[in-house]
Amino acid sequence: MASLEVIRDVISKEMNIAPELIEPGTHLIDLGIDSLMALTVLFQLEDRFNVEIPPDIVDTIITVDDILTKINELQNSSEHV
Amino acid sequence: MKRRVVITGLGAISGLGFGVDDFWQGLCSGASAIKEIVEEGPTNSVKLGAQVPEFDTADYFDVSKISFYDRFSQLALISAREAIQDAGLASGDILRDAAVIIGTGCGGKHTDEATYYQLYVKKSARVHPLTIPKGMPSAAASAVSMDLGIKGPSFSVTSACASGAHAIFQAYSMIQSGMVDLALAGGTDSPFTFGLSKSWEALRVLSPDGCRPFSSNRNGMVLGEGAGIIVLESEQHALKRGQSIYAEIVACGLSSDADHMTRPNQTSISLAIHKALAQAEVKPFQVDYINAHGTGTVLNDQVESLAIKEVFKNYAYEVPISSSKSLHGHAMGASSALEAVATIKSIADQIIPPTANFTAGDEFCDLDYVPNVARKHSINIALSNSFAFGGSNAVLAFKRYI
Repeated sequence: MASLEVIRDVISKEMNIAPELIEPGTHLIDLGIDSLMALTVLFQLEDRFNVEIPPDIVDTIITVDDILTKINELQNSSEHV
Repeated sequence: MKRRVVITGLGAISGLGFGVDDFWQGLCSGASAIKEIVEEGPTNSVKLGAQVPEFDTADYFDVSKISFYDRFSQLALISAREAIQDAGLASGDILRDAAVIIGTGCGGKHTDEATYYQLYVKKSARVHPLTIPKGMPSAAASAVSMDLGIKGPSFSVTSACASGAHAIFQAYSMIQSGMVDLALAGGTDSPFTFGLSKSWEALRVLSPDGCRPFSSNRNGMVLGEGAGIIVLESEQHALKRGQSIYAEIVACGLSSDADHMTRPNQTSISLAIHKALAQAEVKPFQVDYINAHGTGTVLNDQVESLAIKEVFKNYAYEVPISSSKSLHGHAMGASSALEAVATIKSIADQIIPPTANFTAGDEFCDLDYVPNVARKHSINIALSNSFAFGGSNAVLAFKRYI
């Protein structure tokens, strides 16, 4: 299972943002993370959680919690396979 | 009516250190930055180079931006920031309408080769998402534009080892014509990757034991890395804001060999020098210093010396000539820009940096190469020669601004 702590850690390190600013409901754009920068965060998270985030899902990720939810869904679906 | 164009800011990063002061002191000391290279990848048979001293990227760049910056962009950014600071342009929005034109011979090779390593060696199914914007040859120009808020024209030019000179030419022309008042131009390259250094080795032009331009015992070039950026400005614009002026750029003689991909062509090189003199409206005997292309290969230095003799006749034996590549290595597309900085500084300080490692000339290289020791000299007009693979020749002419 993906954890908020790991996501917070990756965003914090990749984007140089204080971890306490990264809450589940925080919009990525409010952290200064645009769609291109989000790709680098997702790239790191794909490695950490051993998932592949399809291109069409990227645009649906708005908040920090969206990342957590999508990764968990991907992990669950791959486990079922 | 063409406008006069002056140089008001300089930036340099190279094996000689960080900033123009380190660069110039290093050049004038005659102590070469070439030494055993620090290798990143597999054990490399290319052992010598002039690498930029180690630095912490976090000292210069926000962590969130660093993944956009290949090393060649990092060097350009550091140098560009220095140049605008030096030109008194670091605050306000005066840079908004400026141009930024950066030459590069290699582009983002670190990014490209890391990508190939992931795909071909590690068999990875994917690569970093910023591989394209980080590695593209225009990335450095874009990075400088974004970092400094420059909204005028921004692009890269590439002509191998003359890239920086062609970028400066482009900026010079744009200001001369009135298209822009202000421009940052220069070159950047970081060729110390496994693939690129092995590719240079394969061409059999690298020296195994040092860079000795014009010396009878020369046996090749040595790779270097760095970036040189200069601020060019219309004379009127510089005077209006009361900025001190290093020198005036008065010509850029361009020619192409249309001959051989790597062998220099004496006639075409002479033509570029002739064109520079004609544009600058000076006679050969009025040239006080030539910063040579001077790679240290047997053929380049021979042909360059012969071309200088063809143009300058007897005065060829009087005009001081030096190769700063002996000190900062051949930094590819950055070389001509670093050498432009050296040439401008030579005019500003009235000192000629030496050709390092010179022992004795030969039957072709029998001119005054300012061997090993810097020289005080009265310099009004100075040329900076760059002759690239592919036969692209560029000769910049700078003049003392009084």
